[in-house]
Order: sequence, then C-alpha cells, then structure tokens
Amino acid sequence: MKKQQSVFKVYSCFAEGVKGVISEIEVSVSPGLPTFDIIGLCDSSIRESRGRIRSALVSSGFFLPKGHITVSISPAYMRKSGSAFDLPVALGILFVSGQLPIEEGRKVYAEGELSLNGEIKGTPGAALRLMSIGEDMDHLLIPGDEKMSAGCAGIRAQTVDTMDDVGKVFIEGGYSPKSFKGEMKIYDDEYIDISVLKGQEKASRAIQISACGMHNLLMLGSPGCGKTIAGKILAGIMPQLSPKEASQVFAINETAGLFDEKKGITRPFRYIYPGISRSQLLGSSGNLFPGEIAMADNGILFADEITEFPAGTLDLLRLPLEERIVRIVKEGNTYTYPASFIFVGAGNPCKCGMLYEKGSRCVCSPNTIKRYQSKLAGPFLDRIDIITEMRSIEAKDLEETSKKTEGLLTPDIRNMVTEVREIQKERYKDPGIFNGTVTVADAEVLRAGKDVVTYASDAAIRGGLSARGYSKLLRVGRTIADMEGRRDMTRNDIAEAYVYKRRL
Amino acid sequence: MNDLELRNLEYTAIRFSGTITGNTVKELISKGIISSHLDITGEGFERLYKDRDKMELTSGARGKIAEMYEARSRIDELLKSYIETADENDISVISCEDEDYPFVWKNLTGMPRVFFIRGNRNLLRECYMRGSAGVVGSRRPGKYALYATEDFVKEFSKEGIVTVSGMALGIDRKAHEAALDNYGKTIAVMAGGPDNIYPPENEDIYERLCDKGLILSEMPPGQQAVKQYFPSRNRLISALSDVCLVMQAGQFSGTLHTASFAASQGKDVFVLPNNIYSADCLGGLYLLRDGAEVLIDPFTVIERIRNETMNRKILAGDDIDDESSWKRMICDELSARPMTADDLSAMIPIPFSLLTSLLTDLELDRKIEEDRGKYVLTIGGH
Repeated sequence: MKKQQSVFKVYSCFAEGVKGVISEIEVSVSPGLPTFDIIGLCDSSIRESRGRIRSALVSSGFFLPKGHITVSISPAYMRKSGSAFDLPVALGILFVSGQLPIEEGRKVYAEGELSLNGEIKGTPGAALRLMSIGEDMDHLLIPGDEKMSAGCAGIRAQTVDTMDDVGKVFIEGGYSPKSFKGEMKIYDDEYIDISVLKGQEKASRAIQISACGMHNLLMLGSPGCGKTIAGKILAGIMPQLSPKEASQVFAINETAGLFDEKKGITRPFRYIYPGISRSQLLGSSGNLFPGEIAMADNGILFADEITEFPAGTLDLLRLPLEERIVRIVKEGNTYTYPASFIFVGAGNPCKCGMLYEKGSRCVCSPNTIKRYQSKLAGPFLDRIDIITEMRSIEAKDLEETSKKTEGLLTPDIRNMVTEVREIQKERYKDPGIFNGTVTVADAEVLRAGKDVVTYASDAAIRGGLSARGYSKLLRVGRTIADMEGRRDMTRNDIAEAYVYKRRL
Repeated sequence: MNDLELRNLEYTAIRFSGTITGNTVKELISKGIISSHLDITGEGFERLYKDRDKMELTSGARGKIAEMYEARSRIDELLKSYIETADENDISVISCEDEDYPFVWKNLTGMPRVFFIRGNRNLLRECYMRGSAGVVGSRRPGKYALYATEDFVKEFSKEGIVTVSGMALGIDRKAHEAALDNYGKTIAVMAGGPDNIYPPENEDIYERLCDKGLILSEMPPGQQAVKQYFPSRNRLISALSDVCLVMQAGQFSGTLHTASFAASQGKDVFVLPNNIYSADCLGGLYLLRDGAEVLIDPFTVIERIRNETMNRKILAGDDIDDESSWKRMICDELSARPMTADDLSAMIPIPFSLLTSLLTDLELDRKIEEDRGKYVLTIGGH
C-alpha cells in the first residue's frame, strides 16, 4: 500500500499593507477523536472557515476525514485575516486524506473563499497577493472572480468556480493555466474636454505644464470659476495608464474594495476636503487600509478649499509631496505605500473669494487678504510648482464653450503630453521620474546654459523665491522647453515659468 | 519745423492760393507727370510751368498751372504766414507719406494729402491700433443724450478706444470732456485751422486737448472757420472713426452729414434712440428708420471695434517678429487699464507661452508689475 502522507503543504498568500506575503499552509490528519483546529495567529474570519469547509466538502461529494485535523498557517508570528484561505485549507485536507491525487513534491498555490454549497468566490486584495507569487508554483488555482487581478499580476493560472472544478483539475489531469492579460480594462474616454477652459488661457496652460512634468498645481479663484473642473480636465489630458501603472492602480483600489468593474481602471482622481481625518488621509494604522494619498498614486490628489485646511493637515502632506511615498506604522512595523501623484490645490484667493474677479468686487482689506493668504505661505507653498489664478468665465465665452463647435481638444493635448513624458523618460532613464519629481535637478541635468541660470537666479531674487522655489522654477522651465521641443533651455522658458510662481 | 514739413506747407499754400485744385494734383499724379504731391513745390514748380505744353493735360489743368505760376508772390505770402502761425502754436504737418498718416485714409477717396495737428501725435497710431469711435450730435442736446454720451465715452476710454469728435458745443464738447476726465484718448477735428479756437466758449477744452489729446485740421494754420467748411470737417470725423455714434440729431442737423459720410465710407452708424415728440431728435430717429443700428449698450460697439482692430493687429503682427515690438504692444494695452494674462492673450495675437515670457521680461525690467493677478504699468499709466 502506498504510504499515505500525513502532512501536506499548500501555498497561499495574504496582503500586508501593499505587499503580499506568501504563506505555507500545512495540514495534518492524525488518528484520534475528530477535531479541526487552525493555528497561526488567525483572526475569526479564518477560524470560521472550518464551518464553510466542512459544508462545502460534503456538498461537493467529498468528506471531512475522521481524526485530528490540524492546519497551521505560516509565518506563524504574523497576524492574518481573510477568507481566502478556505480553498487552500480544503485542498490540503483533500490531498492529505487521499481524496485527490497529487504527485509528491508538487507545489500548489490556491486562494478563494468557499460557500456552503462548494462555490468558490474571490476576496479583496487578490491583485496584491497574485503579484507576489513566484514562478515556482506547479499549480495555480484562483477563483473566476479574480481574472482581472490575475491579468494585472501577469500570471498564468487556472480559474475554478466550484469544488467540482477543483476535482476535475486533479483527477482528470485537467490543469490548463491561462493568461489573463486581456482582462485588464483600462478606460480613458470619460473626461471633460479642455476646450471648456476657453478664455482662461493661463489656467489651461498651467494644467498642461502640470500634466507634462508632474508638477504640483495651485489654483486660486472665486467660488464657481471652474477650479474643480480644471482638476478633472487635468486627469483627462494625462496619458493613458501604462499596463504597469494600471495594475498598481487596480491593486490598491481592489485592496480597498473600491474597484468598480463597470468603470474599469481609470486614472485616480482623489478628492480631499478640509475636514478630512488623519487616517482617511494617510491610511489606517489598524487594518493598514490605504488612505487618500496612497489611493492617488499615479493620479491626482485634489484638495478643495485648500485655504480652509487646518495647518496640521497640510503638514501631513509635506512628506508625501517630497518623497512620493506615504508611511503607516503599525505595531512597530513601517509599511510604505507609493504615492506619486500630482497635487492639485484649489481655493479662494481671499476671504470673500472675489479678489481676481472683474471690476472691484472684492471687499477684503489688504490686511485681511494678507492674513488669509499667509495660511498657504512658507514650506507648503514652496512645494507647489505652479500657481495660477482663475476668474469666472464671461457669459459669451460660456455660450461658446457649450456649443462645442471646435470639436474635442483633449485627445491632441493628451498626445502632446505623452510625447513630452517620453522625452523625460529618455532623460532620466526611468518611466516613473519626471521633471517635477526627479530628486536631483541641477543645471546640467536640465540642460540650462550659463545665461539661463543667471536669468533664473535674477528672477528668483526679484521674486523673493527660496532655494526650493528656484529649483522649481528651473524644473517648470525644463518642462516648458520639453513642450516646445527644445533640447537646451532658453531664457524664455524660465520667463514663462516665472509667471506661474507667485510672489506673495 | 523740418524740411519735409516746410515743403508740405508750401504745397498747402499752393492749394489754398485758389489756383490748382485737388483734382488737378490727382490728374497730374494719375498721368504719371509727378509721382508725389510734393513735386509741384520747389524746383518742380518752375518745371511744371515750363513743360506744361508738352504734357498731355486737359486744357483746364493747363490753365490752372498757368494761374498757379502767376500767383507765386501770393503763395509765398501765404507760406510765410503759415510758417509763422505754425511755429507760434506748435503745429505739426502730416502728409500722406508720413507713417502717422491714417492707414485707412489711403483707401478712401477725397481725403486730404496734408493735414495739421496740435497735441499728442501718437493718437493717430492709437486710432488705428486700438480703434476709434466718432461721437457726434446736436449743439443743444437734452440731458438724456448728454448723460448717455458721458457713459459711453467713459467705457470707450477704459478700453483705450479713441473718441473722435468736432469740439462743437453740446455733445461734441461732452464727448471730449468725458474722455479727458477718464484718462481716455480723444481727437478733435476742427473746421478752421488747428490754431483757430471755434467756438470760443470751448477754449478750456481746446487747451486740455492740446495737452492730453489731439487737435486735427485739414485747414492751414491761421485759417478762420467758415460755414461751408463744416460738412467737409464732418467727413474727416467719420473717416478717422471705426464706428460713428449719433447721440442726438435734429432734422436738418450737420450731424446727419457725419452719419451719411460714415455710411458711404463703409463704417457702422449707431444712433441713440430718443424722444419722438422732440423735433431736435427726429433726424436721429429717421436714421434709425433708414437702417442705422440702435445704440443700447457700449459693449456692442466695443466688440465691433475690437473685431476691426484685431485684424489690424494680426496684419501688423505679420511684419513684427522682434520681441520688443510685442512688448511695446503689451505696454500699450496696459496703459489703458490693468489686465490679467488672460485678457492680454485675447488682445495680442501671439501664443500664450510667448506672451507670458514677455510679461516676465517686462516685470524683471521693472516696467510692469503684478498686482492681484493683474499686470499694471509701473510708470506712465494712471
């Protein structure tokens, strides 16, 4: 008689922050009174899986072996949760009790939640988990619901929808893994066209520069002049998500359980407001749930009414803006989320909001204005590359924009932005680095000649810019030069960039 | 007074000696005998007389040339008095060969080849680049027309549009006054010579115009205003303007001349709707019946003028390629009022990126500065 294995290992994975951790699931059955234990710092969602497994096995024609069943999920020192361990545990039981045949030494990876009648369902965090699987697995079983995640992770796997499917895979040798690349649905055709910014040349140019070089943007204008719309337009003129970006976007959305299959994968546009809490912004240190900053990775973080934000909240943004990451500390461990986004702030220029409006509609005294704007001053404003004012569109321009006779302009602009980003990719040899985000931006890297540097420092002195402000001036100038297709920066590029640096 | 101005004055003296007419000069030029109106002055004067029989001329013209030759002493006398008066009153001479000569006049018939100005000659160029509105009306207007004149001219002044009128009493006076009060630009076209203050009651306005505006006349220095000169003065008002605004006109008013000149010169005529029970307003109302446009708000007019000037700027822009010309244009626009970059972009036909870099250049040169999102001139403006 072939010796029956008393312990069998199946592989699965759980998400910890933005990383997946591979875990081994060992199942042993030994003679004795029937018991069923799961160990390894599991929370109740895992411990409850015993009931689901028992019922699912029985309703699919299998049985739960008699004896001591012990399941150990490693690494045993890490807390884990989630119902995705149902399927691997069930598989381990089937293998160890000989109900399903498996050759010795085969590595099997599985995940999925079981229902009482044997159906297999997907669980949140699949994309992150599947991304961490190595290439050494012989069998990869995932629920049918997780096709898109598998596509993002770029793995080949077999989908199973019921325990019967699982049986077929092993009994009839029916393992035929597929690639799911085609399942990734990246959508970019829902946008507000840039032509609605007619008559607001400055804002229009500002968002184009911002999109090209990943420059943080601040828009000041009266309520209702179109700041939020301008932010959405900015999302529309950014290039289509690359497959890599798309999978990052998908993974974080899917982990947070916010992914909407009908909408597909779109460039993130996260909206934050003055009353936002620390954990909503940075992420929750309890369950490592990503915050708005992490969710905005590869997209736009839009701060509405920025002048109303408490100073403390603005300070929280400083580190992510500088390092392009956000950290969550939980039980002494630091979890790092990538956070590379364009920060767009929108707010009133003064207390009544009418400072830039036609005529003299502003009723604030110079002192009030100064006090109001000082909220934005200092280190935070330093991290903003482009500042533009906005004014309400006049009625006749509004009429023209609603006619839409000129056709859509966004597709052309988006092509331009894509090209300018290619130039930067070439310069920095990295698709994730742009003029606005590169850490070292000296005159040599940016190809600014001596006269250009002199002009820029003159301008910086005249405008009272800090050293960081001066560096931003050069970076924005570089982006403008890239937009005009110039290899070397010229004085004109700096001159234009200076217009978007406000002198408070 | 320079040489060219002297020769133009001599030409004027010849023309006003009662011998050669404008038509004779036209005939001479069209037959290729002379290439410029100045060719009948100086040495050309003798030559024209000696060779007159060899030329293919109408007998009338030949006779005129003979008359002209005989009137030499009278011409010299006139010339002497012109020079004296011009020097005394700081009068300049503009001819069709000058670059300040109104560009649109070259396409109109019956425009004077030489005219005289006193005051700020830049206004001639401003007229072309920023557009101008002729504002005319009755010498004894009602309060309603006066108020409207003031309001409209105020808006034009804010936009940098030049107000052209005739310095008569009533509406004309109000138009000049409103423009000057609002730091606007204004030109008065006189019926007599540029030094002839008519009517004398308007001496105060005349002084202000010499200082901040421009006095223009096709009549030579020293010439008194005579009744029959007024209609031809009116044709210059309409010719200088891009649109003509009739604020109030009686049934037999001279204002109606201006309106009909404007119409025949291809300019839009706007008429302020007025009281049907007042005979002093009927002329204007009949114009409306005949198809003039109704004047309701200044913005329609401003829009119309801006369309005209936009084309001119684009034409002018074709041969501007150096940045300093664009910078001058930016300062020109800013001298009318503070503007945002968006406003400037609507006025100046260059790409927004170039515009912004020029703005920074100007700012670093301390010529302009940014205040509350708008650019303002640091000096010069108001």
